[in-house]
Amino acid sequence: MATPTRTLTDGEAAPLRDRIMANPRPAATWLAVTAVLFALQAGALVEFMAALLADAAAALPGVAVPAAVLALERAADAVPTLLSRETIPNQGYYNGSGYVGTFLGLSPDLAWLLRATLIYAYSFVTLGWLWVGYERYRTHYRIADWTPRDDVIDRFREHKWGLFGVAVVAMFFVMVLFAPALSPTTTAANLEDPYGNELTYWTGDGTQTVTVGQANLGSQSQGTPQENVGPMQYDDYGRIHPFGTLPSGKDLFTFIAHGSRISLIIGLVSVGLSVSIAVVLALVTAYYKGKIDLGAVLVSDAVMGMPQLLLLIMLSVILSGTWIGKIYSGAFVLALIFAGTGWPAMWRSFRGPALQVSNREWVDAAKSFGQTPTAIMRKHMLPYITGYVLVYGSMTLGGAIIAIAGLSFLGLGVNPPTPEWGRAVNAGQDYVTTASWHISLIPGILITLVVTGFNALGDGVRDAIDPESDAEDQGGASGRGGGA
Amino acid sequence: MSRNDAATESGTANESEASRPSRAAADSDDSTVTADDPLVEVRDLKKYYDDDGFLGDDPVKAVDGVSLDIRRGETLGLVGESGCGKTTLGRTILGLEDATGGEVVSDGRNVARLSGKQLREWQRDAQMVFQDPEASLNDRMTVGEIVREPLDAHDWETASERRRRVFELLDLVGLNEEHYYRYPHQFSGGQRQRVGIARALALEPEFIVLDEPVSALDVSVQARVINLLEDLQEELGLTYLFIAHDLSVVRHIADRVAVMYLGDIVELGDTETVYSDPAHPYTLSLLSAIPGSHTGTDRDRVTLRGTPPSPRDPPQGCRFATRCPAKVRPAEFDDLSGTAWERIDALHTVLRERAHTETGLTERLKRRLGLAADASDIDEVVADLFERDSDVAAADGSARSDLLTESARSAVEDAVQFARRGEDEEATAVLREAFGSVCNRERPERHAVGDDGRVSACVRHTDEYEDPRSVVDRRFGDD
Repeated sequence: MATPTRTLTDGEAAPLRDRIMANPRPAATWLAVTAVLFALQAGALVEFMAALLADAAAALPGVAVPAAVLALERAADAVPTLLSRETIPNQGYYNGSGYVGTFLGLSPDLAWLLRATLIYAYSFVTLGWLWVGYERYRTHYRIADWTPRDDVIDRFREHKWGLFGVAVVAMFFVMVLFAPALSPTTTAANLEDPYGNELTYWTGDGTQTVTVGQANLGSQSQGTPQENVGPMQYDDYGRIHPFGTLPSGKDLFTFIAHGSRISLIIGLVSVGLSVSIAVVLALVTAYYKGKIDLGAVLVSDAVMGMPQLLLLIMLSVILSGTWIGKIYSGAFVLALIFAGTGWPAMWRSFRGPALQVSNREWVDAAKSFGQTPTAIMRKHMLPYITGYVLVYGSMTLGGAIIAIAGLSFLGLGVNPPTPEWGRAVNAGQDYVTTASWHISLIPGILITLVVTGFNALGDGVRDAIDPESDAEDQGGASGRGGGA
Repeated sequence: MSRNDAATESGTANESEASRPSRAAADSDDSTVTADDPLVEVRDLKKYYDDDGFLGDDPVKAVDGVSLDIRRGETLGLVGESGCGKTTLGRTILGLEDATGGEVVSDGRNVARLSGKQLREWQRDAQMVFQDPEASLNDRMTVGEIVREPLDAHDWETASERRRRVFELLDLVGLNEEHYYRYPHQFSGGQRQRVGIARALALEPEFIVLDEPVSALDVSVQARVINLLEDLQEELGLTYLFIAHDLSVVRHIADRVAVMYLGDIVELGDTETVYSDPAHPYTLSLLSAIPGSHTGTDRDRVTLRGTPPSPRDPPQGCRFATRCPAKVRPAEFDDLSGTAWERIDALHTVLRERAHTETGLTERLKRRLGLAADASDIDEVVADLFERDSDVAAADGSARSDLLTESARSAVEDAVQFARRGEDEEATAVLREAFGSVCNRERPERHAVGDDGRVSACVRHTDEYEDPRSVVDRRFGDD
């Protein structure tokens, strides 16, 4: 409300396009920079979309991936991308006088570091630029000089813990998005089909070529100083391992970067589903109350009464042979089970605020002029619980990531060879006290960090929405530990 | 926008003639507004709230058998103390609450049973302005969206037409175009209430329920909003049901006034005559509560004692009997003083309240076993009421006082005996039996008072009894 009162003319009330035409400069510069930023990575985006399409086609039971999709994937690969392993390669070999195949002849560790740094720098610049875009819209093009959301955003900007959460979550998302480009090697070559790929290395007096599988046997981390490849170390075959190697000799960073994808996808699908169920149910029960509410209470109690872990184990065994159990190495079934057992707790969390809103006078006012129930729920109730949705959604997402890791640690859940963080922790548990401590510790720290980040984000959002709630008063809003 | 413009506009709107014949008919009737042309007829309307208690508690009788007419083009004021059911009555008339019994009829439609298209029509024709403009506006929507929402909900013409209409409405209630894109937070209370009024006017209603529209506002702002409401009524030919507990505001704006007590209308008549010559004892005491009010006689002492009884369990007979300054008293106690009656009524109230307090399980069990834990309380009450200002110190705790006559004292003692044992119901019954009258037995009917159609529900309007006014004058005027 700091900005002075402006008189609104008809021109300012025009659609956004006209408002931009009236003052095109801020929008034009913003769009230009955005276009440049996008062009740098257009190839990756196209590639990602094509891969998603191919994955989706492959997930359908009993259907071969259509040739058109494969062709599309190949075409997408050909689009140039700045931040890719092709542009800044780190895989090469020493030929006695210098590196062959790496970026500008740099050593592989420097080439990899350069690429990773560029990827993160690019991502944060893009995020910052999106924020600039929002600010420009707010100052130049929005008609309202103040909206209730402005206060929320301003409060969140002051919330250090919440900003830490944003940073961690952003880094996690960047890892998910750029997993193939960030990894020093590819999943296909290193994890899935090591004996179908070859590499060249410097033996000391000449170069030699072996299969990746052969090389992996020589780069195992087995706990002894002789048989260990730690973080940022080269193995005997001239390969850089930023996080070291697994006991099998495979690259841990590649494993973790791709494992983050599965964690996030299960998390997003399960939280998305359970949030949708919970929100719709909360609105309906809060609006109609009475018997519908009672029925929902009974059903949710029944669902909450089921032991989630037992159900997970049973269903993942029963469904493991079926087509649905094979989608994304069993991750999809996991997400469904998490969603199916997770919505009651979430509904309980939304029900209180929804009931509160449904008793507000503006809901009565809307009823008095004959607004339809769905419109009342959407316009007059939903905006008041979206904050809670964000808070609980973000915290539950952290819980889901822990739960998935826990399940894989127990040997349930996502099947090999699909990488998953919990399996890395499991693989390294025998070596925790040895030279190969990195196998369990690094994924363990990452899990903790990411979950803390999601919880911090949730805390920040909650404090921003409801400044009266004390940051220390965790109450029912604290993150759930998850199923395992 | 003048009245004529509004008529032309709805006339040219292509859907108005076809789909809303009743409205068109109403418009043509406008020139011949008569006093006996009710827009809304309320007949024996009841609204009980049952909170489904496991112990099968009595329902809260918020509105209990109200009948009144709201005439086309008038402002009907509805006054009463907080919690008497004014707001519930307004909401039930609009159909926001489902009536427990009775009916609300408008243009031949029984509002409570409307559905589908007819319900939509009623929702267009009748609107509500809420008490608290802080609470009745969704603060995540801009003012424009708020005012526009009824139009959207009823598919009013085209999108640009709706926009134009919103600007027109904002102008009508004294707001500017620039307010369209502001949020309610950015407005003062008076401006917010103007937004609420604009929203209520959006669908060109005939009838608006104003639920204490100014009681949340500053006094200086109140006057301006009241004037706006009066101007709008004149311009648009609106009918108001104006709910308020501020009697002076009602006197200013209302053509007729209905006085409500504990879920029922006790007096209904033209504002000026009701205010200058109140007929019902409740109206009398209510009006004497206005500071500096001069209604003819010196009635400073007619104060309303205590609070209204719980609507969960209204008194038998006349609802106002427990606090009535003009209650009919049995002839055998004619010689009791005014103070004595006051005390006896107070004791009655205390016993009634004791009988109906929510008691815990242990308390109930104790009573079952005859272990009344609160026997000492009643002695204290009796001592406070009947002994403190007497010279006789009662050593045995009995009500021995100059205040009461012999027969009165024995009745009080009988009641207190029961109360000591925790049998408050019986104690109340004894008091009612001894000191009660027709007021405690019969629910009074409405009697016509004066010659301008005023009605008042008090037995004292029959020839059998003395007029309430002269009774009050006698009891309190020269005391």
